[in-house]
Amino acid sequence: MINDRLRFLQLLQLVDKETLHLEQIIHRFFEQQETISLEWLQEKLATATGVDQLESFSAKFSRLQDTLGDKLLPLFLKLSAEPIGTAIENLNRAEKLGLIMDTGQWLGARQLRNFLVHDYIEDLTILLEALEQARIMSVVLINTANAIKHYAQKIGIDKVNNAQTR
Amino acid sequence: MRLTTKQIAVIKQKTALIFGDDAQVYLFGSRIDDNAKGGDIDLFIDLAKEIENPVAKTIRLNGVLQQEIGMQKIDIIFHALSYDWLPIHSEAKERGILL
Repeated sequence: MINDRLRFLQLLQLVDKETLHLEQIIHRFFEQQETISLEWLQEKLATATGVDQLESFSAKFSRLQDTLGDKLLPLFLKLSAEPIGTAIENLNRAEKLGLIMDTGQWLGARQLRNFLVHDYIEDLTILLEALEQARIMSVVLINTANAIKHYAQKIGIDKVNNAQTR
Repeated sequence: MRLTTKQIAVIKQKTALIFGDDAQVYLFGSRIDDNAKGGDIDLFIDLAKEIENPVAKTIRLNGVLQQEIGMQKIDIIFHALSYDWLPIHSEAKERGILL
């Protein structure tokens, strides 16, 4: 139990770090543009920096989703004495607890990654729409991370109980 | 083909709901091989018309199907009018099974 709590705390710290890195690459890549256009994307892909930023955004988006869905959420459910099941069941449970809004949206985001690979997606209108979707989904991921953190604080599993470690 | 009758019905129903009644959906990849085991469910959606927001629709269909079928390994590709026809589309259509 104590080991689980320590692991959970480590994962919360990792999620914080990954969230920060995702926010930073969103800032660098999208440059605070509210809407993105084909011209913007073409300009981005014309430079090595732009291509690197696209790959970095895609990688950091995927990493945060994996850490949240595959690592943090199952352990959070375990520590909250909630039943743990398949990834889909865990997300459904998270939706019931109000931590995520839409399980289907979360599950579909894995498919989104396939559209973010520039080498495979030659049609820039598809890549452009995928980037718009990934930007929206990034906010969903970050909100989920915050919701889990607040819930953990509320039920007191966000710290290791010193009395129990002695 | 390694899909249950129920799975086929769900795939067809949800594809029609999200992409329209005239969307054709093909199963391709390892699931068409009766002798293989496990593997992703690879689907190809073919539309003979223009479409808006194909990425959002594909993601949504994938999420809905994962929930309905209860497994995560679903991969969907699509083609619609005005988009490039790629070699993988030919392979999916020629070797795949129309559901």
